[in-house]
Amino acid sequence: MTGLLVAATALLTLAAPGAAHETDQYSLPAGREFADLGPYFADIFESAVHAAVEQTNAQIDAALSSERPDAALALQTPDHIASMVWAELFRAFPTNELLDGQLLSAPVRERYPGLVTLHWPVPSIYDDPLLLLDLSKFVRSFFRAGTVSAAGTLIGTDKVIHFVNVGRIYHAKYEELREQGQPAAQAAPAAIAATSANPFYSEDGFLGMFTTGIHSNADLAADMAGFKFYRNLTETVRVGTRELPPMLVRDAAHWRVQMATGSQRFTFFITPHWNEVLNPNQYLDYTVPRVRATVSERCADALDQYRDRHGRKRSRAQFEAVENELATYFGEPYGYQRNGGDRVAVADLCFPIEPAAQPLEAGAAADPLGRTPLWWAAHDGRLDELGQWLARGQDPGGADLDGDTPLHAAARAGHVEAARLLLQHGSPADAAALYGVTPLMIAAARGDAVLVRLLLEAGARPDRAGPFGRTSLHLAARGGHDAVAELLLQRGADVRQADDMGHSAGQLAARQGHAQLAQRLAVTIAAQAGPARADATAATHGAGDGRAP
Amino acid sequence: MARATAVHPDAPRLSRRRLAAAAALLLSGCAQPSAAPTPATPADADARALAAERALGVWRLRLAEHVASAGQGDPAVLAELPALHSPASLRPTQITFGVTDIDAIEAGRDGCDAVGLMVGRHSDATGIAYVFVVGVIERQAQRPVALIDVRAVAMSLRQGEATWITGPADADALALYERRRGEPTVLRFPAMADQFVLATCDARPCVEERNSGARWALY
Repeated sequence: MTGLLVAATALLTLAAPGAAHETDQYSLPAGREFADLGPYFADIFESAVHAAVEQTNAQIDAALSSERPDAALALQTPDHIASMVWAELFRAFPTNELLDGQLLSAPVRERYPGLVTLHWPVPSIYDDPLLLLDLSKFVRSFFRAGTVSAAGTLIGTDKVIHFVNVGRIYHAKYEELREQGQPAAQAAPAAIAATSANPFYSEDGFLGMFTTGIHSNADLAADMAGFKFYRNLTETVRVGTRELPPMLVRDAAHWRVQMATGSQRFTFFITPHWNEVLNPNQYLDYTVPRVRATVSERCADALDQYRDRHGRKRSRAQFEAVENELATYFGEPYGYQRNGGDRVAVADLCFPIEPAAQPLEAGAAADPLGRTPLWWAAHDGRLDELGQWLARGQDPGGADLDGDTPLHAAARAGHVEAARLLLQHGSPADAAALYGVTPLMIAAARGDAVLVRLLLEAGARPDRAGPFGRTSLHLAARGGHDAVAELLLQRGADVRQADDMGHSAGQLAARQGHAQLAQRLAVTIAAQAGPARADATAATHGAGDGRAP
Repeated sequence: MARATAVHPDAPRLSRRRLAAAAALLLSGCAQPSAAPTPATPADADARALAAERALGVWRLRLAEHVASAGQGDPAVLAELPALHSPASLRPTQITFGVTDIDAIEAGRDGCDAVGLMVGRHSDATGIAYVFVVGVIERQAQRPVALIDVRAVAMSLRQGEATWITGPADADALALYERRRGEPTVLRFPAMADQFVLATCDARPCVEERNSGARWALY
């Protein structure tokens, strides 16, 4: 009996850290800015998908060459490829502690000078007196996850662990039900219900409320997002307004990655659902007063941090509206629960002591950053609204504090039709914002040939120099955007123009490994200089002294 | 006018006098360990001035190192900095370069942060210089407690080496800026709605914050 108890205790102690970590997005690094780790994570996820496909295809080849067609068929299933991707991701993120350590390591921090890569709150809202008899306090105290920023949302790193592991558990159940003949529309909610009610994994089970004293809606949302991710390997899924085509397709016997390289697919799954302030937890009853008290002490910081995108503090009604919106995963249930009485939520705790901020009015006034409703409509690509503001006479060239016009905003987000509408209404095509940045430079750097053409036709000048003396052609060349460079050259961009360091566009292309474009630009220089120099210039380009020829 | 050249930390041997000065700085200003924020006293002023000088020096050194390593000597690498910031950043186009935990005894808790915002490019007969406004923030008890200095700083690159001009401290400009900024919930530099621009003061380049009218000379 004693042996059994010891074994059970050991199992509990070892199992809990696997998923039962708690995180605190109320306690943030005051006065400091976070790095965006979205691309960092997205690269790891993309590599995992490629590695899994490579290995699976090798396995399929081996099965086929040894004349085991049944084995090959098993390797071609969505469940198998998902398990291979999971194995790669598990290798990248074996534990929460290792993930946090990685994000605090010198090589990662050096990539983000002066920015917070991961924050460990000191003190945390869970720094309550430790009662040894209470297992949940033990886990809350010793198994914690740091906070990072990814895709514009502050999240606990435990969400990545949930996404990878519990998402795959959901997915395996889903595939099992699909194998049994259930349609996807039934299998998906059944898989979510089966896992979220599991006595071990669920938020109300052993690794949830029992060991941590917390039912985390944000954890459940990360589980749901992970489920969507694994489905998205082989199926189209919808996340919010985005419809994401499958990352992989079958190409005869093999899997092929059809997701574009550098597409940042993982970041599409990160949503405000993962943030424990915007999507609050439920707590064991007797812990609620303590957590409420500590959260209340952080109200000023929380209201300062969780501003709306206009830079204004959110009102109580805005916090409530966000929470209500996050109660489903874009309309789908994911296990969200809400306390009735003693809730721990900014909306309930912070407004008695902090005057409620007024929500942004729908009027024509600019926000604290100088951005008008027209500016935001252009930024978001909301054409109808943009048309209405233009019809009401709002300035199509009204710039924000940094000189960004609505056209800059549309260009940054790649909203070509919004840009077209603005240009038709007289928005200046060549307005220079902070550091001299023009909409054409933004479009050229993004490689958006359609928008570049539109701006050039509207009169944007290709030779204007922005930060560090770089022109649109420099930016297109550096990014390897051949079609954009071609358009700029056709419009008379000066291929010899040097940036502050004396680099021509061709030299930047060569430095970045865009050999074909570098060659094209070298030939243009040579052609301008005369046919006699053409061959020699093309042959030596990129190996010069760092000065434009 | 103060001119200095960024030097790699491994290059020179520290003299005893420099070590003593470094130790004195370490024990003052940025490095004051404290359980809770404490109000500044006149006696703190010298220590803070020393701490600010030290923080500015570290900021210059780190920026030069970043250009040398990440940019392979090309300052245009700084244009990539905005993309490193969280997309939740309210001013996503600004080029800022920060150094945190300068002389901190415990990361995040104390020490100083120095954050520089690039305000523009100044070009004259001697070449091109990139002009920044750098704020030094003192931290205590995990929080930013005081903006102890703001300076205009210009960096130019000559034969691959960073050359600096650091403008003088200006207590009046700092006070003017602080008055306009009011009492924010959380102290940040630059603040959310600041408008720093490269301006001309007495026919010389300077940095101006438009909301407050505060100006910092470069030399």
